Amino acid sequence: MKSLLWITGTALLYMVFALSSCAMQEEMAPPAKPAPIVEAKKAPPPAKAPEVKVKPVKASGDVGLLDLEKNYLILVTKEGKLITADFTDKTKVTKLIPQPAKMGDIDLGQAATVTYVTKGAKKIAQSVEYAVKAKKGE
Amino acid sequence: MGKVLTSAAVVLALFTVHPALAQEKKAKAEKVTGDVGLLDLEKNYMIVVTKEGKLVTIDFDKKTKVTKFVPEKAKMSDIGLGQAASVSYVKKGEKNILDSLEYQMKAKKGE
Repeated sequence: MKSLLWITGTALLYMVFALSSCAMQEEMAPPAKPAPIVEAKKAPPPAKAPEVKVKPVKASGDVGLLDLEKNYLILVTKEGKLITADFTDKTKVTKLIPQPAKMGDIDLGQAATVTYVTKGAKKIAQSVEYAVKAKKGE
Repeated sequence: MGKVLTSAAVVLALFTVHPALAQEKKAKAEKVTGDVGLLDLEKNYMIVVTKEGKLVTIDFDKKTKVTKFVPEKAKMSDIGLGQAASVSYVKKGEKNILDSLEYQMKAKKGE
């Protein structure tokens, strides 16, 4: 009987020891590696929308209204269309001053307006008008 | 009788010649705009190429008045109401923003 008790006690002791060592092992488990420091990557700046060059619109007509305080004008086209446009300090204003010239001054390819009369099979020029192109920077 | 016939002939001649004369007087001036494709200063003629690609041959003589328009900087306040102008603008949203404006000064009388 004594030996039975002794064996049981030894077995219990062994079990307690085994369990406690397991617990210790669990406790001794190497600490989890610290989460690698991930540098907060800066989000790339949102891609800039490609700048679409806005094509300038050309129009001709008579100035129907010019407001120098509110900086806008209304142009009346030949077709009767009204175009309201704002102007700024950057708006380039050019006046074309007429000056007498000679036929020899005209270059090939030069844009020109010719007024003529038809006499028989021939067209005779009464007047030739052309605009001199502004030099760069002017 | 002879006098009557003569005067009748004169009146008839006047009626037939007059419209021709009037037609010549009324020779309507036409305008063509384009690029100068040829300019012959010896034979005094030029060819204007229109936007549509049409070639217009025109003779010129000493009486042909040639005018060049020279660009010069100006201000908005120089522009008069009713002034003919050519503009270039861009659309920004609902607004039209003027890039440039060009206008022709009228030639003074005698120029």
